[in-house]
This record gives sequence, C-alpha cells and structure tokens, in this order.
Amino acid sequence: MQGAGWLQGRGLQGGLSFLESNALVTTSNHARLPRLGLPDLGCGVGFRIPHYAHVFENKPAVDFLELISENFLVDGGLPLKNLDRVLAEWRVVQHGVSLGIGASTPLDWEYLRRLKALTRHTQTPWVTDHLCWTRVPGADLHDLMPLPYTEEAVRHVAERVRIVQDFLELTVGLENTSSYLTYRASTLTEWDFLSAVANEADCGILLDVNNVYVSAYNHGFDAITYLDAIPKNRVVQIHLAGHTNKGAYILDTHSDFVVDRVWELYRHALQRLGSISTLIEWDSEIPDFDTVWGEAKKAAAIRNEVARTVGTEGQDEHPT
Amino acid sequence: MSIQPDATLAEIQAFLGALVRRSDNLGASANVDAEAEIRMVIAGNDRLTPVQQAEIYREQFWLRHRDSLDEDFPALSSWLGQDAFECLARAYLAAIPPSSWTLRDLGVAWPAWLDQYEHFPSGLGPVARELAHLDLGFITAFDAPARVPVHAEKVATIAEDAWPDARILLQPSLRVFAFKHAVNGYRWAVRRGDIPGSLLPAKPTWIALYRGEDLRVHEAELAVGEHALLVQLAAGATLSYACEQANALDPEGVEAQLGGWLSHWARRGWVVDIVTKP
Ligand SMILES: [Fe+2]
Repeated sequence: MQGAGWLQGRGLQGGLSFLESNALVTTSNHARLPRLGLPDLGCGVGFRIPHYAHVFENKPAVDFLELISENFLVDGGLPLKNLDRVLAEWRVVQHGVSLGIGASTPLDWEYLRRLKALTRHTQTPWVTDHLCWTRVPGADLHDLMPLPYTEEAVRHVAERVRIVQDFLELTVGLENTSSYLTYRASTLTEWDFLSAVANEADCGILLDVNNVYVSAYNHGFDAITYLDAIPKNRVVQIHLAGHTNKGAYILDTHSDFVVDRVWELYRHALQRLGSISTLIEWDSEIPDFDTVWGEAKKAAAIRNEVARTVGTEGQDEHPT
Repeated sequence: MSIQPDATLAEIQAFLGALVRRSDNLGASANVDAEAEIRMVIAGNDRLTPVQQAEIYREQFWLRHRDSLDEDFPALSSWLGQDAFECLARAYLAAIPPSSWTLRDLGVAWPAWLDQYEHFPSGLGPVARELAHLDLGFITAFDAPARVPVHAEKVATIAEDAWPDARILLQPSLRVFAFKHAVNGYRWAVRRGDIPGSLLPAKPTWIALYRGEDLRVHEAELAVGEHALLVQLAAGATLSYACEQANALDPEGVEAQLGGWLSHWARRGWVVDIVTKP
C-alpha cells in the first residue's frame, strides 16, 4: 500500500486530515519492496541465559537468534564473551526494550551511542524496539507503557524514529505491544496509529502477532482487521509468544506455548505479508532449548505451507 | 498534579508515571483522591474499570522492580526475610526512583541509602548494610570494564628507586571491603541454597571481589594491611604513601608481606599498570 491510500475508507475521524499534506505521502523506494528490502532470515529463537550452555555446547542449527540489546550493553565481562561466541556461529538480530521512543523526555544519547556501537559489532540487519514510552522526567518505569493514539503522538514518535534511524544508520522496526488500558484521548485505532507512525517515520514494523491477539482480547477489537490494515511492506519481522489469560484480561508473559488462535493469526498474516523472519519469544518459566526451538520449527512449517499454497511474490520457501 | 481532559502527551505520561509508582493498590482507599483523574484519562472497558486498568501497570511496576532487587541482592533478601526486604525495597524505590534505562543499575544507590537508613527491624541493620554492599559488589564486578594485566617484563624494567613513587593501577572490576561480620560466608551459604541462621557474630573481615579468568566473580580474603594498601592504591596514592597508611594498621604484615602481596595481586590479574615518575 502506498502513501496515505491505506487510510481511505476506514472511517477515521477527521483529525487525520493532517496526514494528507505532509511527508507521509512520500513513499521511499525501499517501502515498495517486501520487508523494506531486508532479508528473510527464517525462523529463530530469542537467545536467553538459561539456554546459553546448551546452545554453545550443541550448536543447534537454528536459523537466527534474537539478542536483547540491553543484555550486551555492558562494559566488560562474561556477557561480551558470550556475545562473541554467538556472533561466531549464528546470524543475530537485535531487539531492545529501553529506547522509549514515545516518551516526552529527550532521547537518551548515551544509550543510543552504546546501541549503535553494538549494532556495528553484531551486524544486525535491523534493530527493533517497542512502540511505547518508558520514561518520565526523573524516573524510568522499565515498562512498555501504551501511547494515546492521537495525531500529536504520531508526529512526536515519527520524528523521534527518524532521528534514531538517521543516527543508527539502520532500519528501526517498531513493535506493537500488548496493552492493558486505553486512553480517552485516543482518536485512532491501534492499527491506524501504528501504520501512521511507520509511514510517517519511514520505518519498519515488528509485528508481534501474540500482542495483536492479547490487545484484541483486552480491548475488544478484531485481530484480523488489525493484520489486514498495517502497511504490508513495512513488516520486517514477526514475534510469536505465549501469554497468561487472567480472565478479565490477558497478560503478555511470554511464559508458555503459542496458543492455537495465534498460530491461525500468524498463518493469516503470512498469506498477506509473505515470508517474514519469525521469532519465538519465551522469557519466563523457560523450558529447555529444544522446546522453544520446536515452536520455531512449527512456525517454519506454517511458513512453508503458506508459501506453497499462496505462492505470492516475496515468499521464499525456507528449510526447517 | 491535576490533569485536564485536553492534557498533552507529556502531561498524560507524567500523570501515569506518578500513578504507577504509588505504593498502594489504586483501588485502595488511600488512592481515592486519584479516581476522578484516572477516569478522566483512562477509558476502561466492560470488564475493567479505569482504576483497574491503571492498577495492572502499578502492580507490574512494583513486581518488576522488587524482583530485580531480589535477584541482585540475594544475601540481603535472605537476611531480612521477605516482608522486611519488600518494605525496604518500597522505601528505596520511593526515595530514589529508577533512573537508568537498565535494570542492572537499579540497586547501585541502595547500599549507600541503607547506610543512612535508621528503621531496620531490631538488630538487623549492621549486617544488612554489609550484605547490601557485598551483593552490589558482585553485580558491578561482573560486567566492569576489563584491562589487560601488566606484563612481567614491564615490572622487571622498573628501577629499584622508582618504586616508592610508583602508582599501581588496579583492574576496574576489583572491589575491596572491610566488614565487621563474616558476611561473605553468609552470602555463599545463601547461594548454595542453604538457609543460614539468623545470627552472625561479629568478626572483622577484609575481602576482595575480582573477576577471574573464567569471567566469574571470585572473592579472596585479605589481611588488614593488604586491604588498607589496596584502598590507598585504588585512590591513586603512591606506593610509599599507601604503605605508610597501611603500616599504621598492620605494621608487621606490611613489612613482611608486601612483596608477596604484590606478586599475589599480579598473578590474579589485579595489576594493570605501574606508573613511575618520568
Ligand atoms: Fe514481542
């Protein structure tokens, strides 16, 4: 989908008129390519401390590993040695949690300088973090706080993403988060907000399909509508994970297997998006490595099946 | 703060940032003052009220930071017990809000804050303060910068008369402590999974934490003079000044063992350079 055309016919409030006259309508060349022209790495696993020993010893032939950037933004010691051991054997992508791209506090240049040095070292093909805010003046909440879906927030976030991308000289992928509250101030749907930010910032999207499911449950929207609305060429990576259903809401705990409905949504997303690097996140109650890798293999099987049946442009069969 | 319906993004964030750092459940009577403002900002849905939605984030803020402190301060946590530990963690987070982007830094100010804290449960304070410093030492030594240890050839070239004015530069990961209790033994017992007793008799203890070749943090017991010497050298003193200061505490030790200590430090990679006067 090009320019602002994706906005039409979605019943958006008049407030979006600002989008038609500004930089959003210019479409960069890379936005015409699937995944913004970035590679499909296959199906990978988040690299987590309980698995280090197993991974180093057994060298599993996993397609790629995702590193949490913050775990390696240290001055010395074992984390840096582990990093180099990983880089010697596997392709990696970097995923962060501390960028706070939606915060109203200034960008943290010390963090960004360290992040840039790490991206140079890891040669990550893109870098991701969350579409959220994490800080207020005087305090870092260390949480992925949801943004109000407003024009003001679109402009604010998009401008900061552009600055960060220019500085890092790397495509930034913004991840949709799971959220547990909605704001009265919001005038856009979450998917229109995500799309507007990504288009205006000319950045990538890390589509967390589980987060779409969780937020759809928590806020009562339709997950399929969401998946069908986001700008398809901007999705550079997909996350899949498990969660915890508390009844009145779902908490994004990354503590379990991917649920059946999320697998269905994943299949649906692939039919539209083509083959996208897919990563399994498992961050608490972490089972053995092979169990997590098994989820990645399941994702790979679905990808191959969709590629065979849909056979659309941009879908490459990838070995499991 | 008071929030208005047309609040800016920054105002909404400041409002929520203060809300999630409150110590009591947002549904509790202590927070009834905030309810009208929460309703002005947060929409809620048919399953959760605006207050309940905000409470999810408040609870997660507390659990995340409590867990991080609990993981980083295992000995302190064991010594105090869960209730007292959580009480102190809440007080610390309220006094010194998390300010770094990394949770790794969450507890860096806690030991110094505890040094000034006066409301420990009866008798627990002196050991608690020492355990806090020891726990933090393990955290900061683990990922401190590494420098290449000094080469033996360089040491051999230093003229005899250059040593008194020499400054010995130490590995950035080296930490030295003087404790009044054998808190290191207590910490190891906790790490082994033992449940140590609730009594820790007074016993003067001097220890160093250092990162070994295996990149794990190890500890070494020090003589009192050796500890004093390392403290002086780390502060930039010349060898002769450091020896004078250490000598006052441990005259026999410094004189008899200085050479042995130096080679011991070098073998463990603690010495990264020896700077002599030009
Ligand atoms: Fe995710």
